[in-house]
Parts: sequence; structure tokens; C-alpha cells
Amino acid sequence: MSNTVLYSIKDLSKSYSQNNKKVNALRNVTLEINHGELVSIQGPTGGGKSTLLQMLGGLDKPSSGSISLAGDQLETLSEVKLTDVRARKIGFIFQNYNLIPTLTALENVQTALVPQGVNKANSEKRAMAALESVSLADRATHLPAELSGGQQQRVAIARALVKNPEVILADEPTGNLDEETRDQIIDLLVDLNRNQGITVILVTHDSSVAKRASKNLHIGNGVVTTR
Amino acid sequence: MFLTYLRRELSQRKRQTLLVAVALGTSIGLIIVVNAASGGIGDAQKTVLSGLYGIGTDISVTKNVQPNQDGRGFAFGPGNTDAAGGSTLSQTRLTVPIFSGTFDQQTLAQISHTKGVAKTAATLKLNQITFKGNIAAAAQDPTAPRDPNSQRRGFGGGNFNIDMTSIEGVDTSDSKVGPLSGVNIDKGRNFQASDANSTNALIDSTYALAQKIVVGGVLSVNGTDFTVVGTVSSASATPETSSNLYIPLAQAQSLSSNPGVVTNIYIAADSSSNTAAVQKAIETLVPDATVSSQADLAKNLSGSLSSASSLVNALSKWLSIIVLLVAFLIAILFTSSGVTRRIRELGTLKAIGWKTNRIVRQIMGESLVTSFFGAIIGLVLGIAGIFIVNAVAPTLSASVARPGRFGGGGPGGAGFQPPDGGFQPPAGGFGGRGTGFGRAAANATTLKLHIGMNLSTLVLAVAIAILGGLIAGSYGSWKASRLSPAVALRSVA
Repeated sequence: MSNTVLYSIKDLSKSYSQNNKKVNALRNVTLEINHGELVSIQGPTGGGKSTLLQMLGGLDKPSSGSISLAGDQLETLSEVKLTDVRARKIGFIFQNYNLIPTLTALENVQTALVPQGVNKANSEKRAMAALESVSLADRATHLPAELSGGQQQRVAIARALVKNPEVILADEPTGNLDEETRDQIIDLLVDLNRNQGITVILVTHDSSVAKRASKNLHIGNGVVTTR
Repeated sequence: MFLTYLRRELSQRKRQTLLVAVALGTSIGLIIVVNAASGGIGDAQKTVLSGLYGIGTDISVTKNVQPNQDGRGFAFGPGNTDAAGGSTLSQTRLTVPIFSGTFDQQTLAQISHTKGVAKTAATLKLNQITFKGNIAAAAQDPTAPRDPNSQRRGFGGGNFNIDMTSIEGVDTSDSKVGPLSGVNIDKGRNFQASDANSTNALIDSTYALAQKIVVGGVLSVNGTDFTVVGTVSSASATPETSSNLYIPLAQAQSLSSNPGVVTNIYIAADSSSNTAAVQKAIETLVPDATVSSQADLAKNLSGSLSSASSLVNALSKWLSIIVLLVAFLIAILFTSSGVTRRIRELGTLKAIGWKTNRIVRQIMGESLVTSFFGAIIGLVLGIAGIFIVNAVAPTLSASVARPGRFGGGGPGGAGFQPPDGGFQPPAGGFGGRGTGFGRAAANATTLKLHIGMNLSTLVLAVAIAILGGLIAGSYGSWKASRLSPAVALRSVA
């Protein structure tokens, strides 16, 4: 595990208006996440977990404060540059898998390589390797609807992996899975972190998942505490 | 990935793709058929009208006068008196038709130089009326007792024939405008420039058949023999042409003692869009003239052709607009709802690094391909519709007012009634001026509607379908481009 800083967050705040009321989703968050860490984020619903994950993923910009990812100051980047950062450095895993329903498992994985302009042959090769790493090579030509929830999430993990990201951001990746499948997915993420050194930040309600993390963050009412 | 994604989207969402394509295709097909029908009916109108008007003619100028104006009418001089006191007549008159006015050279020159006039042709229409026979003495007496059966005074004891031949003096050097532009040469030849001062003539084929005259035959016009060099028939559905006989204009003017005057001026405008302006200018220039365009003449059409024309003209405009709007609306709504339904998908693609323009391109591509399918469906439906209309070939009838003919009288007697006129002998005997040859007669004809495929219409239809795709795709893309990945992902969380 490297000790170099991947994320450096200082006085990060995010507020927005909801029903004419100001909501402070994040309040002066300051923290660092190093390369190779497995970080869990827990907290009550509406506490700011997803907002923090969106800031980490460059999907939204803070109201104030700064956030850097491997040297890129995300709050200052244009939308085009942020898109480029997401394309190269960040892998996303969603609770609902978010696969493209009309594309096969292989093609879904390939979508992550489209922004990088990888040619077709290379793209297919890398996507197939990613599917093999999640033990789904034999389901490459299946549509998402033909796969179980666990298999779909593994395709989503392969899609996040295929671009060799600096970090994987997972938003409740086991939220829709049964216990057995949940363990398989967590094992897979832990394995990626430990064996491939990929930084994994995951939002979870599950304390058993949090126990396997190297760092546990708790967020409530927009305030982050480290446990 | 662009093509793979596009193909998968369209094939996996068949129902939506098909619905949008069929909506666009149906509207395009309808537009093709309606426009083709409009063109076919327009052609049918031209066919009917061209026989009267000349194919290349945009405007005709004539002048109406009251019957006894200019001293013209139906008058003959006294004949030889026989033993019973009756008159024996054999006289021929060559006159301008009773109701027709004339134009002088100066007016013709002014019209020729009017802005927008590309070409003019002037003709002199004449009627040659030959009266042969005997009128009893009683018929000539205005004080004679009334015939108890007919209630007409006198006019019962004659035995005579009246023949009338309509003759038109034409410009022999150019038949692209005027009455000869709408005729076919059945036998012999057309006029040539060298015929200008000749005694050569063209004869209407129907008239020639009735009179048993063939090419090379001779006809007398006011005592001058003309040699028939060709027989002509109308290019329209009705074979008869506007006159029985065509002779060089100079000869017509000379023989009728009307030097330098004409009765009809035919005009070709330099552009069809200028026709209305030219018509107005000539109406101002010659206020007492009747200036008619093809459109005016078309208004005189009646029958199913006219009804179909009105219907299709209204349909081709409003139906096309309404159907297109509905089709565009369907395409836009489905594309828009497709984007809304795919909000998670598009938000995910943005999250994993797809640039907005790539997503826009994807949606535009899907919309354009769908509209291309719509264009193909539209072409198939449109062409099939044209084939069906042509296979059914609905019969259209047309009735149009055209100059009257006066074919020739039968043996004399009370109650003479010409076939398509309203001849009324004046009270007081036949020796006075006559009035009332029928001016016009309804000439009915039928023709099969045939509609043709117009390449430009087909290309336009495809372009409209693609335009529909572009508009729908643009709207969908605009929605997608405004999509924030955070909001998109949050909305499904």
C-alpha cells in the first residue's frame, strides 16, 4: 500500500437549495485518502454520503473548498476536463449496476474505453480480460437482462476496471444483492484493492463490509469523521 | 461502438423505432401521393385547356363588343327576285364574329413591349357565312300575318342553307404561342414562315372529315381559293380545334378588309411567376379588353376534374402541413421520451467519461437512421399509392366554356335552331340584321386520371423525412446535452 496522497480535500462544502431551503450537504470536510486504500463511507440516509462520492468522482462541483485527485484540482476544471478525468482516472460502480440494457456484457465493458479512443480489436481484448478477471468471460455476449444481479454487478466492476483507474468509487454496490452474492462482490473489491493496489472508496450501510476497509469514514449532517 | 450502440438501440427498441418510422413514412407517402395527384390533375387541366388556349400560352387578350357595334351583324344584300316575288340569294360574308372586338397594330405593339412579356402571337378570328336559297315573298313582309303554329311573323316559306366556317388568320412563322401551339398535325404539314403571304391553309381534322376535304384540296374563303396543306386536331382530350380553318394572318386581314387588326392576342410570360403581374399590366394598358390567364380559364372548368382539382389543391397544402406536423410531433415526442427513459443510461455514460458531443452524436444518429427508415417506408407507400391510383385510373369529367360553332343550316323553314347557339331571327323578316349566335357552349369531355412520379417530389419527401429526424434528434440531443450526470444518477437512486 502506497502512502502517496490520492485525494486531498480541504474545507469542502456543498450546499444547494431544496424547496426554497438551503441544504448544507457537506460542511467543511477536510481529509486525505492515499493510494491503495480501501475506504468505507457510512452514515445515515441524507447525511451526505452520495454528495461526497459525487465530489470525489468529479460529477459535481463544491460550493467552496478544494478537492484534488492525483494533482488535478477538480473544483477548477472545466466540464470537458472533468469528463476527461472521469474517463481516465475514475471507475464507477452503482447500486443499480447502471449497465446499458441494449448492449452485451462485453460491449458494456467496452463503453468505458470509448472516451480513450481505444481501437476495436484492443478494446475487445481488454474488455474480455476484464470480464475474465471477474469470472464472466463465458457471459460476454449476454445482455444485462439475461444476467443475475450479482453477474450484472460484476460486469459493472469489469467496466470500472478496464480503464485501469486510479480509484474505484462504489455507491452501495451490494445494496440490491443477497447475502451470498454480496460477499462475492465485496471479496472481489477487496481482492482488487489488495492484489492490484487499486484504491477503492465505497459507500455502504453494511458494517461487515466496513470492517474489511482500511479506513472508515462516517458522515452525518454533512460532517465527516474518521473512525 | 457508435454503430454497434446505434444498431442495438434501434433493434432492441423495435416498437419505438417502428412507430416513429411508420409515422414519418405514412406522412411522407401521403405527401407523395397527394402531390402526384395534384400534378396529375394539373396536367389533366392543362390537357383540357390547352386545346382552347395553346400549350405555351399564359395569357390571352380579347375584346367583347355589343352585337351591332361597328356595323357588324348578320346582314345580306337583296337577292334576285323570282316570278313569285321571292328572293333567290347566294351570298358569302367574311366578318369578325359578332361579339368580338379588334385591336390595332399600336395596341399589339404596346402589349408586346409590356414588361414580363416574352412572346406574343396575334390572330384574326373570322366567320365566313354563306347563305344560299330562296326566301318566299311573305317571309320578307314585316306586315305578313303570323304563322298560327309558330307564332313567328312571316318566315315560313323559304328554302335555304346557311353555312358558317370559323376561320383564324395566324402568324405562320411561329406556332409556339397561340392556337396552333395546342394542335397536332395529323396529315400534311404545319405552316412555315414562307406561307405568310400564300394561299395555303390548315384545316381542322373533324371539320375536314365532315366537309370531305383532304390535304391538297381547295377551299374558298371569300372568293379566294386556299390549298389545304395540313390537317390538325387538338392535343387535348377533345379533338376539335378552336377554328375550322387556319390561314395566314395577312390573307385573313386582306380578305375581310380588316388591314392591320387582330381579334386575339396570345401571350407567353417570361416566367410563370410573372403571369399575374403581366395580366394586371395589360388590364391597365387595355382597360376595355378581356385579359384571361390559364388560371382564369381553369375557373371555368366544371365537373369532377374541377372538384378533384379544388380538393387536391386544398389537400396538397393543408393535409401535407398537418400530416407533417403530426409526424414531426410524434418523432419529437418519442425521441424526447426515449431520452427521458434513458436518463440513467445517458447519465452513466457521462459519468464514465463520454463527452456530451458523443452522446449528442449517438442520439442524432439514432434519430436520423429512424427517419431514413421512415423515408424508405414513405417512398414505398407513396409509389404504391401512385400505382394504385393509376391502376384504378379514376375517370374525371370536365366541362369548359369554349367559343361557339355554327355548323351550317339545313333546309329552310320555321323554327331554325342551330346546334349550339341561340340564333333568333329578328321580328320582321330575315332581311334585317341578325343577332344572337351562341357565344359559347359547354364542351364536356372525360379523361382518365394518370399521376406520374416526380423525382424532385421523391427527393423532397426523403429530405423532409430526414429533416423530421434532424428536428427530433436535435430536441432529444438538446435534452441529453443539458443532462447533469450527478442529477441523472441521483434521480434513479
